[in-house]
Formats: sequence, structure tokens, C-alpha cells
Amino acid sequence: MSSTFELTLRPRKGWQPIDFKEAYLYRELLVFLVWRDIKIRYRQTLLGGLWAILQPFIAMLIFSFIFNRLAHVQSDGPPYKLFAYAGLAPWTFFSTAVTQSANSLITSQQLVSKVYFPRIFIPLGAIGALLVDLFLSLGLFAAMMLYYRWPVTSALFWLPVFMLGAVLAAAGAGLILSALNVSFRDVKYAVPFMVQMGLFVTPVIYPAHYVPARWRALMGLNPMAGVVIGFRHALLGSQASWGVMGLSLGVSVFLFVAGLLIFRRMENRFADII
Amino acid sequence: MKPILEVQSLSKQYKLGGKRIRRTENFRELLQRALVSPVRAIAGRKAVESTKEELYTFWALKEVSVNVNQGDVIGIIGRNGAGKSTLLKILSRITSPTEGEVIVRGRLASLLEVGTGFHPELTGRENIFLNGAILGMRKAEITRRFDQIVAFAEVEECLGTPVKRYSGGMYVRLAFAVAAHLDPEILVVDEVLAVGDLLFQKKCLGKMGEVSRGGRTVLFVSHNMAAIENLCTRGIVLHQGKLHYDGSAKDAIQTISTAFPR
Repeated sequence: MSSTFELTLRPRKGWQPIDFKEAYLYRELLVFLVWRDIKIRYRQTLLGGLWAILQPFIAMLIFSFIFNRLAHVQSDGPPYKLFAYAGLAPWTFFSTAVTQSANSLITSQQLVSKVYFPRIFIPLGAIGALLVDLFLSLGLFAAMMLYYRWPVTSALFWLPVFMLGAVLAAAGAGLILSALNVSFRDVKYAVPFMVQMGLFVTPVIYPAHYVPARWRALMGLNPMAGVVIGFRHALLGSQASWGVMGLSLGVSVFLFVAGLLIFRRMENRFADII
Repeated sequence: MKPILEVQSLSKQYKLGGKRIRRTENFRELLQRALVSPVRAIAGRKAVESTKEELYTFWALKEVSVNVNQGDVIGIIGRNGAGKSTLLKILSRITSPTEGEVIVRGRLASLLEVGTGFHPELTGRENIFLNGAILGMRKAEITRRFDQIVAFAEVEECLGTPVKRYSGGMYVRLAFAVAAHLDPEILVVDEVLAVGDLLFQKKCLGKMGEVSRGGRTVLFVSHNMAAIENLCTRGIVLHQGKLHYDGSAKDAIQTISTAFPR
């Protein structure tokens, strides 16, 4: 056996570099984990993949009634239902992704304590599977655009950038929360609450210009603010403040890198304390 | 030729949970002590104790050194709590050592439990792929060995059924079959042969023998002394985290029954 492979296992403490090479070697497993999550998500359900679009759709109907009809919140141009849905699609993705990835390690206890592979794949796999849902819900959005005869603009080309922003924000938050959840199960209870409040501090059901100018920079610190504003810009051609979006995307990238590093630092204790 | 596995004064310390004894108090404990103690004092009960105490720990492994050569089939034996599983967990990278190091010179696969990563909602076919990937197989490898795995597990008719509807026996047969078709240079196996009925256990032992005769390096934890004696070329006895004996499998079994009778 002429294996040149050599690996040294040593005590690990403190910050570690991220092992991209190993993640690349195991890339097939990430695909399998995503595939598993997609397969089992809607197993033994009647409506199957319809759930992916029902959630933002029903939320859109209810929010339109409460905020548009009753509270007279106006959109920034397009029909309120289109406006709300364009915000709810990325928001639903983000909130579900954060909740599921935050719990992913503790629901995979058996995997963590019985077999080795890059741990990072567990929370990332949970998020990857939800991207399918996001695409499904954008399919419904396309149908709504046709129904309302709302024109598509060239800004649509920006959509992948904001999708990436949503993925990075969800992954960053998911990595940090899942790692903390291993030691502190408080996370399990805190996340649903945080996600619920997040809906209101992010301009999902109201347009960004409702926020007074002096608070805009603060809003930019919310990684999902830029994503939601960006989705509306790309899908509906709404006016957008590039300052806020740029800041917000920067925060997403920062959150993702921080998530990778924090997760890496904490992962070697997972099997001992989970 | 260098050993395929070098274990150098390996130690693993665990912190015992339950009482949550730490060196430093965290913020919550500080707050709790500050707020709750006066209330308890009024109620005439005992104050909340400070948790600033000595860390309560124990060494699951202490300075274990072993060199494993290619082709060795090593049985690791010892009473409960001897550190066998901890050693395997470090070798399979599930947990990191507290002190010492291990040099691994080859592709290592470990099997600490049968059916790790099986998902009850997925079908037999889907679980073969998922479990194979989790154990470190490439998709192409799994595809190539798929028929062998299915034949070994004897579950041909149920490949499209979710494994939650499998009988216990079918489930473990399938799980073991996937693992048995791993093809690493070093195989680390925890007590997993005690599955299925007697006939299937025999088949598993046969497979293990086949693997070890094929020049593969195997580290094998078991309480089944007959299996150890049959399969292993070398035996290691661990006791309370320390290496107690390293020699032939037969002598290792002899040692354990005389030195540490139940």
C-alpha cells in the first residue's frame, strides 16, 4: 500500500484555520445531506412541496389584510400583495433556515458522537435544502407578476447577489447558533422568538422609507434588511438605497466568516458535550 | 517501514457534568448567587453555594502508546470504563485528545455503531447511499458495491420500503452490510457484531475474518473473547485508561481473566 496520506491528531485549542481542502474532499457528503433533507422534508405529507409556497402565500394574504387594509401601510409602488410577497419569500427562507440549522446539530446527536466528517456540513446542509423551497416560492411569485401584469426590469440580474446575501446571513447565524446550542439549549427557545421579532425590524411588511433617515444606517446593520430591499429592487424594480444594501451585504459576509471561525473553534468539543 | 498508526502517550480528560463545577463563575451563576441567596437567607434556607471549586475531572485515557503495523488485527479488550471506546473515538477523529498525538498513515474508516445516519423515513436503497457517504464512501464506490451490499443484507424485496417499516433484524442487517463493504486501509470497529440472529452474527464474523486476512489493518473492540481469539493477531488490554498489556491475543485474554476477574 503506497499511501502517502499522513494525518496527525493533536489536542486542539483556540482558533483554527478553516480546512477548505477537507471540505472539498467530503463534498459529495454535503450533496447527500442536502438531498436527504429535501427527500424527508415533505415525506408522508399530503401537500408535499406545496408547503414551500403555502407558507409565504398565506402570510402574504394575512399581512395584506392586517397591515394594508386595516393599518393602511402602503407599498412603495407595486400592489401591496406583490410587495409583501417579494419580502416574505426571502424572509421565510431566512427564518426557516436559521431555525433549522440552529437545531441541526442537536437533532443529529447520533452523527456527531458516532462518526467523523466535517461538522460544518450539518448546519449548511439544512440550509442548502431550503434553497429549493426558495426557488419554488419564487415560481409562485412569477405567476403573481403575470397576474398583476407588473413589468420585469433589468434589475432582475441582481437577484443572485441578494440570494447569496440571504444564504450567507442564514449560514452565519446558523453556524453560530448551532454551535452554541450544543452547550446551551437556551438557543432552542431563543431562536423562534428572535426570528419572530426579526420580521418586524426588517422591512418585510413595510417599505424601507418608512424608517426615518437617521435610523437607516442602523437598519443596514441588519443583514436581512439589505436582502429584502434588494429582492424588491430586483423583482419589482423598486427604488433602493445602495448604501443600506451595501452595508447590509457587508454585514452578511462578516457574519458568515465569523460563523465559520466560531464554529471551527467550538467544533472539537461537540462530541464531548452534546 | 513506518507503522501505519502511531499512538504516542495519548491522554483524554473528561469534565464530569451534572454538578457543573467550574473554575470560574459565569455571569448567570454570579447573578443567581447575588439575587437568590438573600431570598433564601430570609426564608431560612441554605445559601446558593459558590461554584468556584476545583474542577472535577477524570482521565478516560492516560498516556497510552501503541504502534500499529500494517496488517495487524488488534483486539482491544478491557472492563467497562477501561477507555476502549474513548481510544476509538480519538482515532476516528470524533473527539480530540487532551494530550499526546496520533499519526495516521492511511485512509481510516470507523464503525462505532451500526446504522449511524440511517434515516427512518428513507427507503433501504436511499439509506445505503446516505449511510455509505456518511461512513466515507464515494458515490461511485457505493454504486459499484450496491448489489453486493443488498445481497449480503438479504433485503432485495424491501429496497423501496422506508426502513422504519423494517423488522429489527432487517434493519441491522442492512446497516452492517453497508459498513462491511467499506474499503479503508485501517478499519476501526467498536462492539457491533452482536447484532442480528446467530446465523447473521456468524456471517458478520466471517466477513470480519475475510477483511482481516486481506491484509487490512483492523482495530477491534469486543467483549466476545472467542471472536477476539479467532480474528486477532494481537491483543491490547486497557485498564482504567492505561495500557496494561500489549502482546498476543491469546495472552491478552489470559491477562484480563486473571488480572481483573469480574
